[in-house]
Amino acid sequence: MSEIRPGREVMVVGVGLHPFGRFPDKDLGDLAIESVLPALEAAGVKWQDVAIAYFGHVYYQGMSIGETTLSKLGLTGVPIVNVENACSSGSTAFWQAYWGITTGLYDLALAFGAEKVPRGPVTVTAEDAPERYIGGDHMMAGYALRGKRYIEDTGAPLTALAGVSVKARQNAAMNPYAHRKDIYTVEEVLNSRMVADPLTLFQCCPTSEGGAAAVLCAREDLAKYGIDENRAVSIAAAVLTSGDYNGRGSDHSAFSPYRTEPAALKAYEMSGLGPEDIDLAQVHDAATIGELQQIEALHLFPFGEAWQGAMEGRTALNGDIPVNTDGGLLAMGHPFGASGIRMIHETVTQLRGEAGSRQVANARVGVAQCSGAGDVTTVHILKKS
Amino acid sequence: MDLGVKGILFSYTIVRIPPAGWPGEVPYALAQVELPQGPQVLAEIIGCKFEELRIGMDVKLTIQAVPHENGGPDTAVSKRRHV
Repeated sequence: MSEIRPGREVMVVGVGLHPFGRFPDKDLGDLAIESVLPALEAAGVKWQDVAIAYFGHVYYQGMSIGETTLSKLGLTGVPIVNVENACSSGSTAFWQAYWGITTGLYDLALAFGAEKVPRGPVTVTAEDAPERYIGGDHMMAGYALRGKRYIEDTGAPLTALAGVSVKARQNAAMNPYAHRKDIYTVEEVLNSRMVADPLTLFQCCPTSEGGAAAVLCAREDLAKYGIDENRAVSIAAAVLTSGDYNGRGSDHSAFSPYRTEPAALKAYEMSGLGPEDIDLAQVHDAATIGELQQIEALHLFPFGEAWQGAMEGRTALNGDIPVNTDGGLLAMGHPFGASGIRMIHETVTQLRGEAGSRQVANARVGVAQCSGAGDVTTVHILKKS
Repeated sequence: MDLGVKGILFSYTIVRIPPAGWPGEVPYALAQVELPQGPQVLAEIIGCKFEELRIGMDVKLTIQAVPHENGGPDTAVSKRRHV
């Protein structure tokens, strides 16, 4: 295997978001374009400046949908790549944009993602796949298995899991882009409809529609495009991994937190930073248990102890390591293709000090971790320049 | 059919909202089972009351058909039976 060899420093120079929710009157292209245009405007560049674009999406909406969508902005002839990597499709698009620039192939790239999603429990396999008849092709049941085992191993109370969702709604209440902004209590979370024990409905992220976009540029090319260096945020690490037997015992299920750990370690090595340098984290909280296990896998908390930290308020906006500051998947909702870039959007917004009432004090370094079915993990570390 | 393979119940959940295409009863118990050789597999648990399930209990692998009339492909899928 080759080592990670980044080249030129790459900056995020503009981000844009279409609100997350349900938009029956809009198609995938509308959701995408309405996030791309604000991102370009924020960067102060034109579509004609973009040298390559990557589009993250999962559900089939027609062939070469990225090309069809961006054709509305004009046919510029640049390469446009459609990216499907499950829930990590957006973050994988971002990862590709980073590597396209750092290697010197391109100067300015667009990474964007959007999704139109059917309702109901999310499945992964094809309709006639045997997994459907085993009963295991059910994302929230997978998280439930993790949750049950975590409770057994750590003694975490159900209220610790429910508290993750309460915190998510409190953050989302300050975020106009969020799908779910109503605040609820721990009791209301625990008393909501049971999906797969120990996970109740309010502990599972809603399926949502929306769009997110980011514009990336080589630091040495910022002046060429007239981009304000002071508002650009540096990408200190960009890592994408697949499944790996990493010596953490026999639990290699797709929902194992040990999937994230190797990607996190690579990201820390690439950035020269460690968990102690992280000021805030956006992680894959498709279910409440997901957030607790991901922040352990990122080494922000020791394994088995995140639930205590969460109950002590350490992951809240005013805690020492705020997590999912925009509401996360639990309250923002989860348009697969957009979520990974939504995490980048929030990290950039926080590092610029532009998060308004949910601003984290003295935020200088942020991590964004996104998981996907089929053993996908992305970890990105962003740094205030 | 009993396949003669035993395993340990690593984790389980009672699924009350099933995915589309689930051909069995609702609720159903889903198991994450650790095999003696190390790998883990997912399967429905049969032959055990929900309240008797415990992490760490022994289970054995059986196989049964999902007939067409239940929406299945008439292929055999693995199940876990409590021993």
